[in-house]
Amino acid sequence: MEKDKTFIRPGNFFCPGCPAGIIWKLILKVLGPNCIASIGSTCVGMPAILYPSPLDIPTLHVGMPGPAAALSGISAALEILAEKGKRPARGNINVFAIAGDGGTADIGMAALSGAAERNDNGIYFCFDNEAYMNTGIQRSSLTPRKSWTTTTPVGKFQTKKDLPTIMAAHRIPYVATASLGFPNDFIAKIKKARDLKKGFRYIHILAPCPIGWGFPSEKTVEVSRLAVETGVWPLYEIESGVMRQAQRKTARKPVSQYFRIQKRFAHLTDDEIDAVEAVLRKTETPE
Amino acid sequence: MGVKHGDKKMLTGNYAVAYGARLAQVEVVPAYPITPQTQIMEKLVEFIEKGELKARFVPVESEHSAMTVAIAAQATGARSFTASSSQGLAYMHENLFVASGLRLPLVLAVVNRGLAMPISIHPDQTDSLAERDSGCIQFYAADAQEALDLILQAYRVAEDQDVLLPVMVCLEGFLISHFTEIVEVPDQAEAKDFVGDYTSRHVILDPQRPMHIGILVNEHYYTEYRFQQKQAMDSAKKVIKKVAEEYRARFGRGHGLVESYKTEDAQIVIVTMGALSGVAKLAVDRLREDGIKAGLVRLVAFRPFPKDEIIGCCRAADTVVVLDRNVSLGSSGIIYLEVSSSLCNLSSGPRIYDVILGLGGRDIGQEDIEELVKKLTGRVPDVQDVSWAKVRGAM
Amino acid sequence: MRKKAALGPDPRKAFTYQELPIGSTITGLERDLARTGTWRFYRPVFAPGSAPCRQSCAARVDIAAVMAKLKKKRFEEACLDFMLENPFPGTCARLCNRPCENACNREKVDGPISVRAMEEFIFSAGFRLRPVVYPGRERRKIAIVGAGIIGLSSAYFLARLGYRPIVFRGDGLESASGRDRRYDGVMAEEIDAIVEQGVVIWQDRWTGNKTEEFEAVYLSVSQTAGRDPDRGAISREGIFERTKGAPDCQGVDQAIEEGKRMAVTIDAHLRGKGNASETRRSDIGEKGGISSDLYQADGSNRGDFEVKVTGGVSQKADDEELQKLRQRAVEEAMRCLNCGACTGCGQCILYCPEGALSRSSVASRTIIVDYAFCKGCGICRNECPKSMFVFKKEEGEWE
Repeated sequence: MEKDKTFIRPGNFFCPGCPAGIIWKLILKVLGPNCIASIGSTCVGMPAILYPSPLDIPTLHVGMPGPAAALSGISAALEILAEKGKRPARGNINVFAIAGDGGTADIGMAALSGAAERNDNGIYFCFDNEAYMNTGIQRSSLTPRKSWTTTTPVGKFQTKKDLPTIMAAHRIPYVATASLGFPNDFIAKIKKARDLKKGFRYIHILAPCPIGWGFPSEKTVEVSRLAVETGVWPLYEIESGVMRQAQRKTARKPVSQYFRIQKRFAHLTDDEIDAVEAVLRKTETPE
Repeated sequence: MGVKHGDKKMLTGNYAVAYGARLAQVEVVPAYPITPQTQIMEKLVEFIEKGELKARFVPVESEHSAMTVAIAAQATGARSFTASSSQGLAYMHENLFVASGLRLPLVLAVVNRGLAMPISIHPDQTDSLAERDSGCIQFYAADAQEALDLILQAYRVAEDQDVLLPVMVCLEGFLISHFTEIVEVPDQAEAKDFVGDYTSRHVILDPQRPMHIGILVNEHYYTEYRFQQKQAMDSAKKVIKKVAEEYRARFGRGHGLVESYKTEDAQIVIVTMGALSGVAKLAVDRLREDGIKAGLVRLVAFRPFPKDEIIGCCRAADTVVVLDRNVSLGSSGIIYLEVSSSLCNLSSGPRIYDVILGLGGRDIGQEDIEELVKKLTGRVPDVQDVSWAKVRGAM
Repeated sequence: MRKKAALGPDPRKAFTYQELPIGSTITGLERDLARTGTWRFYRPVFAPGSAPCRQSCAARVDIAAVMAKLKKKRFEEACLDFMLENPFPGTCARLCNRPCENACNREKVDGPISVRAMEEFIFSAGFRLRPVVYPGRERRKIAIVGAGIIGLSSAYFLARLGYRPIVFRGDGLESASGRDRRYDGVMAEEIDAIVEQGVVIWQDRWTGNKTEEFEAVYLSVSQTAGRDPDRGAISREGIFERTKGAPDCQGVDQAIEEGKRMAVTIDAHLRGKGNASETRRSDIGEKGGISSDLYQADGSNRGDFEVKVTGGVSQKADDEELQKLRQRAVEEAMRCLNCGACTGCGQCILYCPEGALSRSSVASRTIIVDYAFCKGCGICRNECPKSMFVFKKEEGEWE
């Protein structure tokens, strides 16, 4: 059926239940076959890095700190070649980069910030599984507070870096957060980013990792949904400096549902969860 | 076809490199400033702004990103050019291996400068020689004119279908880069005709021909891919010579892999690389006047290492003195290691000495070279194979 | 878990350096996809009729289908659907633990559907099934020892499959009708209905010396009745008994399923077909449970005449009471979500990380699982709003 068509074929090396398989499908559904991808050395980049590959689009992998800079290079080259008339432009080629939270916020931060500041053309997807999962669940700057990782076995002390607002401070045209539990919203955001055509667009997706976060592989989508429904992961977009937040249609679920389903928060006491709940309750708009 | 002469201009080495890049009609220029390379970048931006060069300048935030942008742009099919020096070159170290492994024919101008710590902004060649394992072809210019010539030849060599490796054109900071000389700038049409256009037949990012560039192979294919690069380096030796001949026929200058000076009957051969060669040639002349049959081999290409040419020039000599403007601490100078391994299996080869000098930009004059050659060949008993020249406290 | 082929490049077929494309790319190399199906421990099976209520009912009553018929007020068809799998609606309404209601998906919204109301209505309405007719075919005799729910249920299903079951009292066991005197009338009425299918119930006790008369003997009692050494050993083919060491049935639904399973086993044995494949095909649910509807689905085991429902009103309920029961049953049926019937929403296809699910090109509401790639993660089962996927343990070797 037309609505089922994707440009990624079956047969990948993701762990069972990994959200990366779903995300690649959705991204390629919108950005289509006429695209070029710059890949970071992360979990989500595996289809482009391992042989045999299920992808049918051209990809470039230049190592871990690279994806944003490679994005700049590809779009600069496409522009100049089109200007010189050397490469016939077959429609608008969508250039995007996809990298994990380590490759975006830590080792790739300099390149990301540079590319955003220069406002190079391209869409940047941050696949946020909240730790360095590909090397075995080590903490990153996007790991939330009190979360278990192999390098923070008693829970991380520092808070999660608020990367979407950092990117908005670069004054790029479009910043958005997304979650797999709401795929239509995610698709709409990619479409909006694609249709802007110019400038550096940034989409930050929460990607629950069954192995790193400690929940059964079948609950990946459920956890993504819970993250939004409990208020832990707000869905918003910042377009040219104006923030628009998704409003809830139903009551906010208690945040303990989100914490208790994951083993990485198993050591949280009820008091600590109540404290988080109190903070989140303040975000609810009064009826 | 006779030699086509171009306009003569007063240019520093940096500006000569910029003119070379402009003649090659590069398309994407990512760069980050570092003394002494900064003027290359600035001049190219001037060309672009005035419309004399149709290219995109990408003001990257670090040299690492500069190389990444160059790799990505080259993989998309645009001719890329960037430039760096000591610390910046070290920062882009990992991407040099990447560019070579991806077989992307980009050109990198390296304005040699001493590596920190301690900091020196004046030249020595350790920075580019430290990247000799990266799989990039390395040229060393002796003056501004050669810097320009080598940039044009570099694109031809790199884009040759049997080669397809990145090329580093190295020139010493301040000694060449900031020194104004008369440089003959070839005509743009002639130069473009010589260099040609870049069309990639191996890696290209094109949705019509999707391919995945930069993959994980592990032990299954790693050796095979490296072997391909070895084949490329071997072919490069022939291609460099061929391109140099063609350049000489067309523009009147060109040396190939090495330049030899009075080595036919030389008993002492001096091996140098870079700007030092000019002074060394004067020293050779003076030594000859004093009755010592000296000769000079200047390495133009360091990678691929011109082993046959070195053997050819040195086998008949008694002594070879390698002047190393670099050091591999814990061992010796780097050119000495290469020359020794080239000559070591000759049944009766010359005695090889290494002198490490000029580090961090220390000035070496013609008298210094004469003196140390005389000392080394004077059959003094306590002369060491590897020695350091002009060290205060250990003269 | 045994794999015969390696994932990734096969070292025996590895490329030479001349064959490899230059530039750290694999363009042009053969793209054999990575068949990650070997990673699986559980496999998803797209099972229409796999509503959670049906899966949790050991007797595999297609509750969702019954509810669908009730919604449309097609009461006779509802009764037929129920009786295809379970001859004891009234008994179940009273004695069953109702695992179906515990599993109901509607519980997450506003409370489970009351299956009990449906069962009570079906019993009270007094519908009867006309027995199956096999013209010109002799009904073979099967002896069933034990007149409890297991024995009677197996008799019912064997009769529907075209045999003549003769039920004997077990050794020292009370018959089901006597088990709970409060429901005397209910059970008696249901046993009457079973007898109408062509079952003969003898009040004699079983003695081992009549075995030659019967094609098969089923010892449905847990003791070894008929094995009394004084009466001589029985050692002939065709003796079926409950698996030794199997736990006792925990509820009425399990007892009914036990009887049904044995009926299917006996039938498959007597027709010379292998046991395992026949039963597996009619096994549904994650723990396995025979559906007689599925067993007879290919038509080969069905009788020559369709079973018709003859209406009637039981003496137990008068018109007004029956009206109320009917109304209650229909109300509950309206709330039923009819799980186990695919609506074509496509959530499973969207959320499968492997892309191993696709719509059948012939039947748009059927999903095909590509087992060469499915890793068994379970997201399809978790996300399907209609509980269409059943997970079964992988067994045996993989390709």
